[in-house]
Amino acid sequence: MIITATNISKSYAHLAVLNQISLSVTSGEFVSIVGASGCGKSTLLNILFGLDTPDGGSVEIATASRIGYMMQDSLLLPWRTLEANASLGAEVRNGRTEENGLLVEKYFKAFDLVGAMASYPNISSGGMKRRVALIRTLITKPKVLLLDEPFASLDFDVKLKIQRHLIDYHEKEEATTLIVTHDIDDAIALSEKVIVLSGRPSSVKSVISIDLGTRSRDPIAARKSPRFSEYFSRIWDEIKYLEEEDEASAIH
Amino acid sequence: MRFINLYRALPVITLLLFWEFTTRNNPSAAFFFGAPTKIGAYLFTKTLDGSLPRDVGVTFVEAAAGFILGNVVGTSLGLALWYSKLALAIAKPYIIALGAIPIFAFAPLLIIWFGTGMFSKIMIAGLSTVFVALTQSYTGASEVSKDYLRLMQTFGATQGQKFRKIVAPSSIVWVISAFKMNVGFAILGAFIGEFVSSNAGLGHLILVASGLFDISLVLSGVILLSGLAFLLYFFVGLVEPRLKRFVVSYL
Repeated sequence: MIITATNISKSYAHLAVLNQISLSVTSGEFVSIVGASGCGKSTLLNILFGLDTPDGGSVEIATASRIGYMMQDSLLLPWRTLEANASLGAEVRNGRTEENGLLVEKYFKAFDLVGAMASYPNISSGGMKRRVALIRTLITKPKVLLLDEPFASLDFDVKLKIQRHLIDYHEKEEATTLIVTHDIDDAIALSEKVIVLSGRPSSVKSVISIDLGTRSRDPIAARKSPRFSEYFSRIWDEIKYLEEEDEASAIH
Repeated sequence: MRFINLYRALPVITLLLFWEFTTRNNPSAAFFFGAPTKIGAYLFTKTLDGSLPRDVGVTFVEAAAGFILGNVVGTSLGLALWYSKLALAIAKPYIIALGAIPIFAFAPLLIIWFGTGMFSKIMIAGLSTVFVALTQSYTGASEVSKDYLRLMQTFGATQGQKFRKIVAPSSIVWVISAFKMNVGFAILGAFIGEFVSSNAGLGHLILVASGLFDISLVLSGVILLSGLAFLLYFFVGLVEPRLKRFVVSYL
């Protein structure tokens, strides 16, 4: 086991956010956590990484592994260019090296950001910032990836491209990957295992293993797979994002 | 704004013409208010005999050295307080108390301790700038976004790295604004020191001239003091982009 969490609970000022959550991720696994918005997914990830402490329960992450954590906010520093922002993490770990610079450049090319290397965050779109934040995380070559909504505000075509790169990284570096997302499609297309959280206070509702029967892992092939919609309905029925079916018609 | 410099000069030109016109054939008005032509004559002749350049030079060196001393010490202390909540809690009432004392009250003391030469004026100018620099830089450092510090934590950054990569760049704006405010305070400090006791400098010039009721000479000194402020401001303007670039790209 690379990540083991046991009976994690957390509340903020009497508002219970997490209730007795247990989960485990084995080495080299790709796992997604899905749940309705505001159900405490980010809090859970903060606790797993160790930024926040749980009120109860415990977290263990294999100590030898270097962890890359991409937070929910891109948090680019406004006084740094996108390029300098992307290399921040590596700079902290190994100083300013030429190798880092080359790697950043490679990623910017791969993520369609070449023209934006010298731009500043205030004139960049949310999707660009998201990609830079992902590069910033990957560039430190982590063996464990914790990604909080890594595809937020990405256009569909860009998103698929980024997902291909992420799978590629996951396989080549034999990284253990845990992502948090609200998007059921992304979770199914990428993961071997999907953990479904209930609404607040959230607990683990079910853990679903995904086997789409595709020969190689690919976000597009996965979406084309006949089993894809089966998984979608299963997860959908677990989450039930829209509790009241006629909520929309009540307004219009 | 094509003729902005012309427009800027208009109020001064109008004032000078009015001033000269009213004092020209009126000796008592000229006695109380001086005259632009007389000021011009002083600035010219006293530059030629070398006494003005010496006074300006002395005050400039005192103000500039005090400015550098006060800002370096104040900024370093203010930023250093970011490292320790305890040190800040202890230091805060002292900073407020010491910062509130008018520099005029300290000036005689400093002159007793450091003599009547330039060094005591440098210390007075330094003291009158140090609290502004300290308060500004500390405020800048304490207003750093907590989220950025958490981000640094995800990379396993040390306190020193957090300081260099986040705290320093985000408080540089505050530090620079302290520099700008301190231009005036440094000159004020040097001037007060000279006013209390000195044998050279613009403060000395003004003190002597006002004792002689030579209003034109007093005003010549005042004009040169504001010229000094412009000069210091100009140097701050030169330093600003370089310092910003250094902090953002090399720390």
